[in-house]
Amino acid sequence: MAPKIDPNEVKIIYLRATGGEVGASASLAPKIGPLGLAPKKVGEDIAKATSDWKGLRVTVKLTIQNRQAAVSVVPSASSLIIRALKEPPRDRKKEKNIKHSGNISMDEVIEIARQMHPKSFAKNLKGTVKEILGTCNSIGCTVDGQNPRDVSDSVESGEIEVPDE
Amino acid sequence: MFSKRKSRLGRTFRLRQLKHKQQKTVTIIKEDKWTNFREWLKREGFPKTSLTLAEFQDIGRGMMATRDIKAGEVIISVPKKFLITHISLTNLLRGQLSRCPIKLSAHQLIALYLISEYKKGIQSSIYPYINMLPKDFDNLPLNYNKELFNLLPHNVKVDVESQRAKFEHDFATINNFLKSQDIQSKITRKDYLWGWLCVNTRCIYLETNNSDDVKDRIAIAPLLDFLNHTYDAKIKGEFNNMTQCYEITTFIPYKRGDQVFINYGPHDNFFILVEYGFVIPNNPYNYVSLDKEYLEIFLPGETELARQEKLDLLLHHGFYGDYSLRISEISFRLLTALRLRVVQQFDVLTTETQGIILKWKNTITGLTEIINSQNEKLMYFYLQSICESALLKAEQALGALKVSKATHLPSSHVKLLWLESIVILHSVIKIIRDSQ
Repeated sequence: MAPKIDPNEVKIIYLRATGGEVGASASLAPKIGPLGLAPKKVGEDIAKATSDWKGLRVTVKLTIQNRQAAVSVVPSASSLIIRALKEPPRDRKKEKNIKHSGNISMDEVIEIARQMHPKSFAKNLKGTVKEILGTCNSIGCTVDGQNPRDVSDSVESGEIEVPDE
Repeated sequence: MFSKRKSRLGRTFRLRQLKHKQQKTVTIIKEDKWTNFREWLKREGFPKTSLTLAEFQDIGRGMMATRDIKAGEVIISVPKKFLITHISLTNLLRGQLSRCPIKLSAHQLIALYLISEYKKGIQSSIYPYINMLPKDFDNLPLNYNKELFNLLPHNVKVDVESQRAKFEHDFATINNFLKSQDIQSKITRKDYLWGWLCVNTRCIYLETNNSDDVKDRIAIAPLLDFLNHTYDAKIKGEFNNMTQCYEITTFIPYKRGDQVFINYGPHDNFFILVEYGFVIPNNPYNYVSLDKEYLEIFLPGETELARQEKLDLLLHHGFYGDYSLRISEISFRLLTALRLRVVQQFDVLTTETQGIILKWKNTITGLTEIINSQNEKLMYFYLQSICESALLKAEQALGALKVSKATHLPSSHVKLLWLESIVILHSVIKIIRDSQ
């Protein structure tokens, strides 16, 4: 029995990985080995797909169809912001408790909000911008040199205009 | 005179000739039953589509775009009233079904419905559609003659046999059902097989509110079932609650006169042949199954007990069966299973073997990649030997196909399966040789 266009034939696995690095296959093998996929090869594919995100923790989506895996990066607000901070790459093993005390521009915040908008439940882009500003606050960076919470208040009051789309 | 005239014809003539030739490869079908079917759809309120039935060279019948189709467009939408599902039939036959203690699955019920409508002939309410259905399914491996069936790859034979068992079970259920209804039916095995295969080859996946069983989530959608499959078609198919239609959206554009395809799912040629009765050249999902070869490996010094214990270990860890090769790729399952299989002096009571088993478990969890270099070498040696024995089988089957008297189309399908297997086996053997 084989109904056509059956969505159940596609398996999707999400996992966290460090961008651009071939992670230990210990985290991959138990998940994908039984499906017949080679952990080493998939690990290399993940490293290739995340090469834009060197040194950042990103969520990776594996779409598995009939013993073949396709890798894509799921954008998340925090990784997009950290990438926009353009921090020098550091060794994750040596430096712990990293503080992100950089600064990003409001235009970058709006650009990130546009990317995250499909995932957000906000009605319009303004709501998503405020979500992103909240994430900026928790990361510890500033926006246009100001505290993200102050910026968020200005967005709410209309001092800073946000396009509808 | 003629030659003189011909010499005057220049570039435009050649271009026209070329265009003419290209058009020849597609012929739009203008049969009475097709026009009747289209008129019936129109009368019943089926939305307009830009598709028409056409005969394509080498492929056969398919749907042709009658205008340019953009990416993201809905190519076909089938209103709810045209969908034949478990629920629509339960409503139709409410009186009869509620009296009966035997519950029929969606597949059984729809097949029964199709064949009963077929028997009604012109009086059937869906006669124009029934008339468009194929008259026979000779291209399906289920209907192959014994000679051709024996030339199928082993894993395909297993699939066909399980399909046959499922049909026999469904046919028996239907017979019981009809007896309990006191219906003097004249539905023979051959009749029911026709209906059953119509459902099997043409149904789509459709989720409904009260279909608990996954197997009952199927539907027959008229017109939509004439669309052919390719592996690179990018489409989305789902029921749209706003319009109450099953809609298919294409994500790639089509030119006027092109064949429009949908994607049935990520299927390999073995699966497509068993379920739908065709094959696609260069299908990227193709593989070679080595389950039988794996079980039949002869390892000198391996006792029957050790073999059984190894297989039990595989079963316990979920690595039993499904050993496959793809082009230039060896399945992790096969590598893992072979690593354990080639362990020598295997005795679970000794600490040495326990240590090896622990190391083998580490390769599953990804802590280490190999057990030890000697084991790895031995593993590749046996992998190469089973690949070579599979290659030999494929070549023998091809030789037998050449002399067989089987009909043209099915035997060409089987031939393609073997040829593709040979390509995959060669690619894997090359990898093994290169790594040594």
